[in-house]
Amino acid sequence: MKDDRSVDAVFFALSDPTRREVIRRLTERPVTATELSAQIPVSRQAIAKHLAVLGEAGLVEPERSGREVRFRLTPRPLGEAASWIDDVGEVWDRRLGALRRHLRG
Amino acid sequence: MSPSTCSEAGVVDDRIVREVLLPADREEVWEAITRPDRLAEWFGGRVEVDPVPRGRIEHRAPDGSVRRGTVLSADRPLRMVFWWQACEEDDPGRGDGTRVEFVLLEDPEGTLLTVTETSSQGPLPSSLDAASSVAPPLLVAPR
Repeated sequence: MKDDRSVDAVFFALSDPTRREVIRRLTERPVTATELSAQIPVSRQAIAKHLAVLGEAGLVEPERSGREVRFRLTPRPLGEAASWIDDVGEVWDRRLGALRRHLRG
Repeated sequence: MSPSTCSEAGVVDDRIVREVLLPADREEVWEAITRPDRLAEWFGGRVEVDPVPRGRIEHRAPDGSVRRGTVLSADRPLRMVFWWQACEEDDPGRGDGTRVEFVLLEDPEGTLLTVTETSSQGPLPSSLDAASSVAPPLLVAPR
């Protein structure tokens, strides 16, 4: 099972609609914070904070090109979060199947 | 902001929810989810739980991994909520924990057991009341 802390960071990052919008934009191509704040109706400062949260969750990475910093999506933690759901779900399916058999005696 | 809110058309859901209809009354199901000898029959590994608020819970899985935590609320035979986290041997724990809730509802054919495990729970909540306050509507009828 994946480290709980990193999974938590991903779920927290995804819990905000603006951050999900940022992710949607980044699926198209890497963009700068300024470009994002032009596309999404929040301040550049707010975008910077959201990018920081996404960065902590490992979902985006800055890359410097010339004088600009573009952010690109690094989607691997999304898969890890999905696998947490799968792993924990499977464990409960197995346990509850066993519980039902146990109670049927 | 609540990480476990599945607003926005359920885009984000860090909860696992499972329902199972069990051929037993609620008292019997309660015993099965709280007594070590009964838990050993189905949980996998060894579980010890003291089903009272602030009671201790420990699970030793067959693969040797250990989870430890604290019971947040216990209302026999309706509902038990606990928080737990993965631990190394002799270690207070690493990473953030998850919250597990068992809800037992009467059913003509037995008991409907709902298990919800939620991530994004952070460290052990300092207030047990706050942590266990999200009761299902059916169980918070006025007294």
